[in-house]
Amino acid sequence: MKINYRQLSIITFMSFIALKFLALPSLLYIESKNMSMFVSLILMIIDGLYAFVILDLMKKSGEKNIYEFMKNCLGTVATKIVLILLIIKYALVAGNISKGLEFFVVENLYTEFDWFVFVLPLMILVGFMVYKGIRNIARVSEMVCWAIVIGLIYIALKALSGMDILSYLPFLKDGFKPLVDSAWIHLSWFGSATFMFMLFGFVDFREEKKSKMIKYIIFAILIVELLYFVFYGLFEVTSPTHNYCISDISQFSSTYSAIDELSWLVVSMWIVAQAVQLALYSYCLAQAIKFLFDIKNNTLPIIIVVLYIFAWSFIGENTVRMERIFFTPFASIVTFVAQYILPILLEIVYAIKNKKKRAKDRIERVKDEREKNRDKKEINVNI
Amino acid sequence: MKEKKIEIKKKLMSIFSPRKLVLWLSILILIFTVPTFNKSAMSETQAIVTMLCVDKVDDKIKVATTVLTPSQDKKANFQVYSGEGETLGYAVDSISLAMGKEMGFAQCKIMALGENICDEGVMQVLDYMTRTKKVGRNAVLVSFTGDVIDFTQAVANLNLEKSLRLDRIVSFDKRYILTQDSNIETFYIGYYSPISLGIMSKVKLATTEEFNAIEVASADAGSSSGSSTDMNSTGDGGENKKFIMNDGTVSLFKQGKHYLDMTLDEVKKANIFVNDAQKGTVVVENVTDHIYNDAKVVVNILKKDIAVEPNFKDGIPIYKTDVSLTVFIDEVIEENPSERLLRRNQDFLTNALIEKIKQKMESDMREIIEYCQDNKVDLLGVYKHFYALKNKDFEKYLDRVGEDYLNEIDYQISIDVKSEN
Repeated sequence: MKINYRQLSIITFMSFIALKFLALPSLLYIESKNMSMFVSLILMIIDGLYAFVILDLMKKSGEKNIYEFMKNCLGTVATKIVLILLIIKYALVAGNISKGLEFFVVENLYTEFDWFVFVLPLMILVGFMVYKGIRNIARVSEMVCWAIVIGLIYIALKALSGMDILSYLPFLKDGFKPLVDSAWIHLSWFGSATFMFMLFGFVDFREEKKSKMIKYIIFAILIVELLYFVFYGLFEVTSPTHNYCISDISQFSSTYSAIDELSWLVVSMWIVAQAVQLALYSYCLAQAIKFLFDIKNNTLPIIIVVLYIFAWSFIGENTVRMERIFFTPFASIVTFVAQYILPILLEIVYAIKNKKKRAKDRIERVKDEREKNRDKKEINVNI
Repeated sequence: MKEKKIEIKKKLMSIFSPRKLVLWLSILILIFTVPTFNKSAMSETQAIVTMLCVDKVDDKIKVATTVLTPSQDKKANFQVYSGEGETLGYAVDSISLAMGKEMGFAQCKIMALGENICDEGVMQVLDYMTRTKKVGRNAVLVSFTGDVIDFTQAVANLNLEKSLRLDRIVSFDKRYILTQDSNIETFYIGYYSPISLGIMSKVKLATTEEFNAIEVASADAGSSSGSSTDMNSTGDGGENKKFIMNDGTVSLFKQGKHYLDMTLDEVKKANIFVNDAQKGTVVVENVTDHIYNDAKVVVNILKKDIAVEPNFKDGIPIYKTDVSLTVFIDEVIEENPSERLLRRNQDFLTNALIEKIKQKMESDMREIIEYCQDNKVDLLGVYKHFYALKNKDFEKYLDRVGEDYLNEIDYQISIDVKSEN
């Protein structure tokens, strides 16, 4: 079952904003201080550009899935290595989303909330969505997308008046080094286009409109940057202490009005969107496991993925901070290779293979023509 | 052998088929959730704390809380509990012990800090309450005078008797006095800024009636660990009258310790420099011209625009403030009002009045600059403006003068006054 280009654009939009509104803004501030929003801006623009490289590869793959396509380009061994890399990337993102959601709901949203009351339904939801496939994820994304957009804009605009624009100055006081350091350390939060690899062969390009994808990506970048602009303007030096960006912005200044309660509605919608994103990356993880071990049935990969999310509930529960797990150079390297090296490598190998194939075809064509000409000459001589 | 393997695989697959997966997970849910049915209601195990007051008396931390008890009738039922201990944690735990309930601070909307704890430093209290006890950072922060238990009871009674809430009273200050929320978050931002200046509203508990004070009943209560007073019924027996007073006094904190108090008048003068402080009045006297005759004129500020331009000239910092006011004549007090005042179609904002307003504003602004210089307190945001807009020059200047950076600045003020028409 395929998804159309519009649905792909919406999933991409959701993936671009998926990990951005919990701990990331506070973590970015540690290295890059008041320039943090520019780190995310640069990395998201790069992600956006790479989304088009992967899309190009997706188109070239035609009906082939990623495994068949890579096997054709890189061979079986290299493909398996790349799949392991992608599994790590998807596992990191899925783990990050599930742990972030768990912390948010169990620790921040409620005063006393047993983790399994949240984790078990989440496991069932994710298992079911992955079982139903990418089309299901796309449709749910379509349903919640605009509610999320309106809600996030509402939260940002409501808090806009409380921010201090002077906190962004002086501009680039310590140069670009803190920005580069911050970008490298927190790279694993980005690489938002890597999910596209697992959609090779699942996208119908008949109604392709590149402008649509460009619009959605730009829109995602603008929304993230708007929220970050407000966040750093509100909290300034205390930004690193705000691990729940989305709720902290909305709760910065309660005005005792009924409209304040809307903020919680937005936060609730955002939790739904996060669950959908968890399903998307779990789907990618299940697909990658399926390809790696050549499993024909979907059930086993789904069970592995669901159990993996369940296992995350035990890792670092309430004690180990998420960043210790995610912000290792290893996670940055995995993201760097999966998002930035792999698409370029595949493009180059595909181009070389295609060139060789074209050259081979041309030689064969010339040979055929020569043979035909020779045959004609022989016939003429015989006549 | 191979067939056997396939058979086992098939069996495994049938156990974990998607349909059965749902069944397995449902069983899991039941295993985990059924035992929770046996748990008691949260209200029986947790106390809903709505306000926390902390002070230090004789080397002991004293804590008093108002606890909301849900009741079937719609009447709010607040109870005041108090406790003491060597540390804040011990004091809070002593209340838990007395109540037999955990203290839940998620609904705590007010944190009131007594004079002694303010003088000693409030950061440890704020850190403990926000990090360990999870008090929301948007909880209103006030400093208070008076006994910790008396104050808590008075605030609880304020709610019950007058339907007034201290958090809302203090939040109102934002519009007219503080120009920012008096809450934990803004205090943190101030504390962690380079000038380490925190601001919070000050509420006084008085025993005698004063101007601006609200009368409330305050029942006598002991201050022993875990003592409580039911604030649901407030009869006459055994009660003292107390007065809660929010007169616009603001407490300033440096490095987290109480530094000085500003009167409402001083705060209003400082607010001339703050763009967010849109409301205000200017009172000018001895206005005499073709309309006024030695009049006292009260002018309301309708709109205010502040443009700040920090600059350096020959190594001397210049802090230029342009104030543009749109005003409206509110009151004219004359001994023998002339009939000219009743005439329509004339501009009451005469040149003489404008000049007087300018003089008054400038003198107020100069006064507050002097106040800041004398007390070494940067209320005007001088550091922030210079740091943001003239960073390199300012850092050199700071290296030279250090903490006394306010003293050598040339403050230039220009005021423009317009009529609302």
